[in-house]
Amino acid sequence: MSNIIEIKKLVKTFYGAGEPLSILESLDMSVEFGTKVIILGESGCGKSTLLNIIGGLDTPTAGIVKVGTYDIANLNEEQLTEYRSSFLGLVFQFHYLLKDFTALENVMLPMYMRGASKKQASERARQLLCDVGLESRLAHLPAQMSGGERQRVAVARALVNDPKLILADEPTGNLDPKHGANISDILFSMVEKYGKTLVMVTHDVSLSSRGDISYKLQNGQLVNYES
Amino acid sequence: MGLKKVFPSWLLYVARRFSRVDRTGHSSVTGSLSSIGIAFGVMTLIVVMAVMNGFQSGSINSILEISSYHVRASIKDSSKFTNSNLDPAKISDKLSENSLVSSVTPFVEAQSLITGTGGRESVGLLRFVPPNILKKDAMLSNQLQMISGNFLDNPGTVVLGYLLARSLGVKPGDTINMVAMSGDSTVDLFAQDRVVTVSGIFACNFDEINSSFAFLRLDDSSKFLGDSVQPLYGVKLYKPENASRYIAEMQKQMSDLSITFESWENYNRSFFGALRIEKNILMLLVFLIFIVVAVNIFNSMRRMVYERREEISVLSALGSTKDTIQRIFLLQGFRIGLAGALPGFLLGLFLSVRMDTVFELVASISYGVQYFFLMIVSPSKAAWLYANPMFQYYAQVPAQPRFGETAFITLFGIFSAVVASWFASRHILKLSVAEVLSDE
Repeated sequence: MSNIIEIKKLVKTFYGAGEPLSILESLDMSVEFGTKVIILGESGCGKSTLLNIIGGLDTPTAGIVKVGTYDIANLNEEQLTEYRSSFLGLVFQFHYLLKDFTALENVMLPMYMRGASKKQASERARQLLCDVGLESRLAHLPAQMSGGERQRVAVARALVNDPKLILADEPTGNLDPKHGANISDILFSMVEKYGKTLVMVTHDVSLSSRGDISYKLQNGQLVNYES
Repeated sequence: MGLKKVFPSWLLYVARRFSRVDRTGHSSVTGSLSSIGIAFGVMTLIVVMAVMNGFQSGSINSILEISSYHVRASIKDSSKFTNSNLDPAKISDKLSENSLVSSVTPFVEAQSLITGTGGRESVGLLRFVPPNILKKDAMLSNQLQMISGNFLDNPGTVVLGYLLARSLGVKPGDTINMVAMSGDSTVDLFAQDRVVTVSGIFACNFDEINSSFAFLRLDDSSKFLGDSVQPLYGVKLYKPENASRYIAEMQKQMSDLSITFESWENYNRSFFGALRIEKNILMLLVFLIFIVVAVNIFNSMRRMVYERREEISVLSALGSTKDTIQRIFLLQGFRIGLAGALPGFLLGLFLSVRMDTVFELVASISYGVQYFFLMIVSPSKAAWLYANPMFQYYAQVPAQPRFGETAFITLFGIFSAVVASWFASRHILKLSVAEVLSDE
């Protein structure tokens, strides 16, 4: 099976007022199509930075980051936009739903942005929201939903464009254990149902058993994690 | 690049939603104030320009039809003419031999210090014209309204502008004395009989003419200015803009004769230039309204962009370029501009076209309110209350809205809002999505 992610000698250094801060140091990583990868690590170890670089939201200081056919470090803004809208689904720790849009509108928007008709996007969004158990909440605004429901909307939104890769940045981090477990169940079942590749970063070690491979990020490098 | 590509349907969808929220939410006040400011600016500019056009065109028409003519022809060297050819009627006929010409009038011009009743003095411009000129020159008779007496029906009479007559303290039937005269090289200035009777008083749209012009009969000119006086010839064309063409054609046709021509544009260059400058300066001053409104839009839009930075970052993460997202805010600016410029345009146009109705209405309301309170406070005085005559004056202000100017002002109202939005939303291009999302 071929690799969907191929990272070689990735370096990320933050330059601020004080000493430069190296977060990722010569990091290598390969992910095969259809696998579920869990990356564990303490707060501030660089998990989100790694995910942002893979998602094209941040740029590497050095190294090669290839996702599918995309060479992330060398894409211009238009190509990055195309990459994010067609290849990626993003789920963040916070839901980041648009507060003036209903659940249905939030989910359909990425597909509508890609050029689908409003009707097509709406039908697809409705189906995904039913999949995550929110068929009764389609017309509700984020402010009218619970934290767990909002995160389920975010999961549905990540899948609407039928991406190859789902990047999840601590999707349960803002939820209580019960709702967190519920979101994890939904996310893993959706990934399995639609045959997606998942890279999830979390500090919840209990999730390591849910992945095909688990890594721990420490000292700027990935090491295999055995639960 | 097609419009659909610049403003894809999802962008309009998001912009509509943002603007609906902003119309009802926290930004509604600043957005509405900006629109009201633009409406006020557009309306004021349209009315001011229309009124200026009206006043200016009244003045310009009076100048062209009464004072300067469309083309002035003068004999430069009378030695090139035989005596019979110097007959003004013959020269007029020659100058009329062109299809562009409406009328040709021989006239003599001179200046004089005039004394009227009780020794009141004023400087006047004497214009000796054929006594039947009002019948021959329809455009002149349109501009020049006789408000009392008649027009030069007897020799030795004069018709004065009403302001000149007022300053001399004379009315039809009174006599005036022309104390001293001056003129150009064709005028001999050997005045003998300088007393003339006022036969009528006229008024036109240009007060400079009303306060200085005195019309006398052309056949009286030799009595005041000597026998050698050579008249000038005022040519009226069907279309004043054909002056240059007429001059070129006549110069070719009359090349053997020493006649010089001067177009109205040339003759009035400094005056028309001053009118243009006056209008431009006024326009510039009223345009300041748009600058104030644009600053207001800039500030409110900056705040809006800051408040929506999370949503901007999410849209970017979901697959939109930042300059596409910036267009959402440009559409917001366009909406604010359109919401102001359109009513401003309609109100401005209405005020310009129905100036009389509006001011009569204001006069009635003002009178009604005063009458109401006077009846409460002092009913006996109510009988002495009259409508304010200033409103009647305003109601008669000539307004001429012009399509080009009106369209420009309206579009500028929208444009100023869009430009302010563009400057305010440039910040979007500098946003780091990862930083904004991790900050939140």
